[in-house]
Amino acid sequence: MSGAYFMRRLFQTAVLMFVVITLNFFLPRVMPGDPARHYYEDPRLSEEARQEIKALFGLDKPLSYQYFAYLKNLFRGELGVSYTYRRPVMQVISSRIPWTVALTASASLISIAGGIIYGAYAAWRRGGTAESALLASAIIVSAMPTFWFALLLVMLFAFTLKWLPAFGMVTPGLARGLNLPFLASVARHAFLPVVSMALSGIIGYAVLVRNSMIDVTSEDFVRTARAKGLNSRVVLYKHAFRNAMLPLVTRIGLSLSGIIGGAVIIETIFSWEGMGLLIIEASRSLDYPLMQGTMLILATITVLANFATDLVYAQLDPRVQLK
Amino acid sequence: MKRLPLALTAVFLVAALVLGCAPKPATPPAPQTPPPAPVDPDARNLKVAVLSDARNLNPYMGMGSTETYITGFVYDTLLGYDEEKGELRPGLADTWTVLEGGKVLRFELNKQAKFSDGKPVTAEDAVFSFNFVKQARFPGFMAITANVIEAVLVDQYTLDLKLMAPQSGSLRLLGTTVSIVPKHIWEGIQSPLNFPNLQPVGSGPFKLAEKVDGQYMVLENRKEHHRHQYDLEKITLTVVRDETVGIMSLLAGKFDLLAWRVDPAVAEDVMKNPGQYPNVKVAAAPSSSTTTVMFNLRNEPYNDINFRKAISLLIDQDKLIKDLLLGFGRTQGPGLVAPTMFYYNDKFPAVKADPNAAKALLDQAGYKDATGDGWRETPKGDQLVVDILTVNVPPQINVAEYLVAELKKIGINAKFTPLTAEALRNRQMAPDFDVSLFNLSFSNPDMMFFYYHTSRGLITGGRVAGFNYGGHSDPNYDVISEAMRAELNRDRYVELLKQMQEHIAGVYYHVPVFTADVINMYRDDRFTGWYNQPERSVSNATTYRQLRPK
Repeated sequence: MSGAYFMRRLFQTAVLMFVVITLNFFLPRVMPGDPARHYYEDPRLSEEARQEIKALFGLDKPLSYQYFAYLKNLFRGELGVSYTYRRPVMQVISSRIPWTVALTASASLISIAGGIIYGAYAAWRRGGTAESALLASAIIVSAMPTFWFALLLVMLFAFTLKWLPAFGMVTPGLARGLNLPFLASVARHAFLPVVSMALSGIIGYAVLVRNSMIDVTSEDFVRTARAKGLNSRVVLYKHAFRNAMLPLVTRIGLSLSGIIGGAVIIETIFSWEGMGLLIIEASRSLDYPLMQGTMLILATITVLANFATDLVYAQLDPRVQLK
Repeated sequence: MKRLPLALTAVFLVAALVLGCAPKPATPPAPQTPPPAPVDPDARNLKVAVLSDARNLNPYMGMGSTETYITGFVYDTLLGYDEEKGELRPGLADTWTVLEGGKVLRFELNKQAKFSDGKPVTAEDAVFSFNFVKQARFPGFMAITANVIEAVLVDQYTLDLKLMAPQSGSLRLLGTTVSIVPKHIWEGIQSPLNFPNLQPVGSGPFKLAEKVDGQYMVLENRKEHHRHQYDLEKITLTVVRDETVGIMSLLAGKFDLLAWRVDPAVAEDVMKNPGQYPNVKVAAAPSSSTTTVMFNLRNEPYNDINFRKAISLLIDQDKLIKDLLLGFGRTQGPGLVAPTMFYYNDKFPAVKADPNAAKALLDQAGYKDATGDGWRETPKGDQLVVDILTVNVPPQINVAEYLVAELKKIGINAKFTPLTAEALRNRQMAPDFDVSLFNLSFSNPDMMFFYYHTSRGLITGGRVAGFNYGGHSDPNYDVISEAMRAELNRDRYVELLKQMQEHIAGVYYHVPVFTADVINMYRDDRFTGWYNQPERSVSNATTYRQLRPK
């Protein structure tokens, strides 16, 4: 990878970040209403009191003034105080991130690992039962709403068989920390949401890997490797798979923001207090600082993940940086 | 070697999950001697499901239902309020007196009251709380304390609230909404608006024993509370973000009560199939929140009472309640005050739909199809298309559909515009509408002033000053409503409120569509004493006081 390519991508990323930061300020304010409306719609309030409330929320100043104040605070690393939690935004967000990562990273790891193995196998045994099953399940999974599948799991495992908890993150009363009962409780609570999320993930990755592998295995260099009499496992993993990884890397890179962003539907059904729920909550209550904080973190991770993906891509395929 | 970390991660993950799902260890063999009779530690623990977390526990800044639920138990106010009788009852204060023609309210506190940290509650705490709320300018309390000059200490257990002007609602408003906080804690708070108060110390009947963010909260009975009215030892509030999972958990016996309004379809299913849902009960309580058709009286032809009255004759409340609310609703008279309210005027029962009478009224008032296109025009000959604004959710959107169909049947061209709640409110406040669906409630009698007084419909800064979005204006009504707000004699006060309903019934400014019930779902296998209260259903203070384990 050349230094010029790296610098060009770095510059583009910096510009993109500035655009993201600016949009992050203006988008919440484009939404109808404002965070103080709950208070100043009180019919008993005088006009002076209404203006005072607007001032308390910093909404009395011109938008340009608010924007520069936001940039200034951001530069100092301050995301402000949540209107609804009455706590620093960073404190609220940092309490959610570990839970979200525990859930989404587990589901992603299972999805990626399962998807790669299954997809590669289906491609290698093309026309076999595994491939047919994969294609059939891809149709079924794409037609099956996540919430419906999650509720089915809850009904079966939590209410009929009573094996697993229906919702929540930990059994009440357990001491928090790195102790076995606590971790086991978290794992028990995470099982159903992880499975709900991982199912569609496995199938999605498997289809991607299968398609990519089919493309690659029909290439001349794979045929050559086979003709040389190499072990089929070596041909699959050393020759074909590495080349089939390019679209996979892109997809994994793009899914990184989802790991932090959480999964709104799954978090709602299982009462999993992650970032997805927090974003929805902030939007519903028009909690500008919290909306800005959550969206900024997500956007930053997405932009950085794209940057990293481009760098990895360039490493894997040297032709990329020439374009 | 490169693959080892990934492999280890996978193994750990699988192990953790398998460990998590593993069956519980076998129970050890029973001891030789019979154990003492088991005592259910949860026998007096009421398990309640809530849809949201308590994000902060600042009694002056909390906005959500769970937040007010908790602060309502943790903090005391000077007075309580019996909503059914419309009467005040003792709270932290044992007695209260109105002095100087209503300009001073005197409260004498109970001498046994203590905060949960053991310190006694004195008048100094109450004086501090009122002055603190006023000075800190908490947005939600600006209107409440607007009439207060200051709180003054009389003696260790007595305080006066000095008011700018006498108001009939002051005792209720100030006595029941301002939580009394411990001065020794709150006087040290530097930034009261940003104080989340996650370990609240109050003098209420319960204290917050445990809170895990986003998961659950445990309230523990303070048996030393000066009024000690609760048999429950604990109330555990569990956050369930999804209503379906909450309902399934109630059916499975994991909760005693769902603290939210249940969908009528679910309630109907449970009521029709009691065998399928043993011990699960539905409580439907009349509410005072009425869905109405609101007219913008500033615009033609909506400023014509005959036109408004004709539309009112198209609304078949019984049919709408049956079809849209599955029977979980009540008809509402044109006076708009619910029969459960202490000031209800029974001279104005619900009006039956009569499309023929509506047609006749329109003909008589000059709304005829002069052009022969099948649609009526205004008496001036102008084209008429009634546009009904509604929020884009059922049952309101179905009401709008129904109205459009009924209007078309009598020759009035009509359409409806579905909007988000926020957009609808903006159009109403602008005021940029002719006809709009609007929910109003008179559970607080003062609202009869705020919805109808001329001053509350004036347009300042491009928006309507108050809730009188349609611009109702009547000098006589203004005089009566102002007198009502200043009236301290209870009988005269109620009489004035009844007079106001007479006026409301005659102007067809808000035409009632129906009043939807408040529906709660609960289980009756662990506790007795559930009380279905108008406006609240079974999740109410009386229920909590009455509940006893079975």
